[in-house]
Amino acid sequence: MSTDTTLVYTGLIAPLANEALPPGSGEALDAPDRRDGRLYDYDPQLQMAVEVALATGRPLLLRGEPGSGKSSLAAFIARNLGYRYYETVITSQSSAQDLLWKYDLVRRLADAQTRGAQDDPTPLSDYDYIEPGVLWWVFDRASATRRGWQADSTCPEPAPAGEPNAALNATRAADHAVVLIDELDKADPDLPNALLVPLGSMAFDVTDIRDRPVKVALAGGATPAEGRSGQPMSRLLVVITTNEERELPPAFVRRCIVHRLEHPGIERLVDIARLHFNRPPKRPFGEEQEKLAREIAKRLDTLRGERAESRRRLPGTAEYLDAVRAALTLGIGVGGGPAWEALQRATLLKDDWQAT
Amino acid sequence: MKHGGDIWLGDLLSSWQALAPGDEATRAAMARLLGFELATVQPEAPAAAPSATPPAPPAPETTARHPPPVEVSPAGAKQQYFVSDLPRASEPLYGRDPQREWQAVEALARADTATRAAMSPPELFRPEWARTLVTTLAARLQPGRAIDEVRLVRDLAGGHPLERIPRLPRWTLGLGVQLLIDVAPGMEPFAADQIALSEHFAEAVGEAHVEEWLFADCPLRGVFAEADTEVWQPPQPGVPVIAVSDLGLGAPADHLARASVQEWLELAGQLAARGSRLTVLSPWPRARVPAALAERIALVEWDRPTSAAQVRRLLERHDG
Repeated sequence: MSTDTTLVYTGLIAPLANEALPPGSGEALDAPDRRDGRLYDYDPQLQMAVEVALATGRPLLLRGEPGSGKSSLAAFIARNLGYRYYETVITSQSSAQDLLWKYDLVRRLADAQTRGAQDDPTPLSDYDYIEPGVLWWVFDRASATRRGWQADSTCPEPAPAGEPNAALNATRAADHAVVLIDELDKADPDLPNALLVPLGSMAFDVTDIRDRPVKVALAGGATPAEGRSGQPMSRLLVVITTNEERELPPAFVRRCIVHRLEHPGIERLVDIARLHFNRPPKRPFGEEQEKLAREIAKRLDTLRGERAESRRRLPGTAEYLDAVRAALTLGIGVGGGPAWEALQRATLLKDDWQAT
Repeated sequence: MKHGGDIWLGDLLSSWQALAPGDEATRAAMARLLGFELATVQPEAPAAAPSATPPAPPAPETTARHPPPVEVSPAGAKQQYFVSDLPRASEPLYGRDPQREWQAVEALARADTATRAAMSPPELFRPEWARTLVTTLAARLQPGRAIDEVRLVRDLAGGHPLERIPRLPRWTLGLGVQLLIDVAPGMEPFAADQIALSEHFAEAVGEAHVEEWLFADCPLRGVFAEADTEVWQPPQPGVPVIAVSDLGLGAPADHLARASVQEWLELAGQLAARGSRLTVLSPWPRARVPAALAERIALVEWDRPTSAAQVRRLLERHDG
């Protein structure tokens, strides 16, 4: 997504940087779908979209084909900014309430029956059945840990809730967070609309606790973070992705900063492969590897052209990285007979290979 | 997220203040991210250098602000008309050369998108309601995850065994939809509306979740996507089916192949047996549809007054 246009502005944040990978590592760093935030190939337009989202406090809505890197961005930003990181993947079964909290009514019912049978007069506490959702953790980590319980509650303090991504977040800023709401287009239209108020006001009421009113709001009051230039910036970044299988409600889109991740060209794909697979000194990305990566990028480009005409699924960057990884590891070259054909079917064509 | 409303000018000013864009291109790029398009403003001409000679008096206002006068053809000039060389209707039919006739007519230039949009008739659904209507039509009432506390308490209080946790139903698009589009002669006037409707479904439900087939008269006679006719297959159990059809009402009198009420009832019955709902979207008023059919299928009038609330009430009755 390179561009000839140079963007001139005073950044709130330093240019987003990649973290050097351990030499010759074959550990989880090589996970095909990176969520550790250590590597990401971004362009100036994307960095500016992030900065505008931070400057305005609006959610960043990322559009683009599957496999274009939408879901990997949020962790990358969180690591760069030192913000806590949370994520949730939306499905057709998801509801807006899942992102706020869940109440385990069935367990409560079972406990009530057990106590009734044992003539135990101890009242049940709602706090024990509350499980904070991802937005609760994002808005107020301390409140989420206590499941909304406060010192003036009439109920005993519940066991602490388990924080998602706890080990990593323990090293990050307490009042700053990035949250990824992935594949929002999979949800029924009610879900984005139901998120308008919590995301707009950065607050919501937990209505399942009858002990006392519990309001969750962005911790730390109204004090914003400060950018490099001394200008204020949001302590919270909401990154939402959509594969555009369905249109999102216009009212929701109007409240977002919208950026589309375009499919990279051949040379940028080679750069992305270099970023992911260069592990000197044991596994350097030398001339030979670069040639192979470029050949696969050209093949991908041809395939995309052919398949676009027949409106079939287009292989993207994720499939490209799989193909390069497999070809490098297995020593298979493009056009290398049945081995290449098999690799191409498995990584690039997938379910559509018979139609090609 | 500092306020719940739409992105507004304040967001643009905030981003400009925080990020201090250094040139016009960057300002415009930031504006686009927020959904604004900056208008190009022509800079004013620089003031003229002082001159020893007095400036010329301004031109009369009429010449500066009004368009030039329209040229009028001189009196008596012959108006040019296009004269067709097609044979007159009074000429005998035999002896005509059809090939020559086609060639004699100049092809009209294709209208551009804006012109086509301006000339096309209004959509059958109100445009501002179309998305909600399509979403409502494709949705099914399914058990959700939220527990039906009222029913649960009632069952327990009544001492009934709790075989399964009762769940509150919710409308969902998760099942997708089978869209059957009637291309029989009676639906020809609505061909463009059908294309627009199909696009609405793809946008609202997701292209991958819309199984679309064409048919003529009744889907039970076969469906097709391109050329070859195939046997219609019902969708997965529970998936709603929407047939866009006039049920033969608009077919010309000599169209003898129109489907019978029995055929449509047979289709509805097959779908009902699999837990699927058949909804017929018809451009004809409900009063024109045979009562036996109108009672058994969810019939929605494809017309301006139709609202999502009406459709939802109708579908609630059919989804039980």
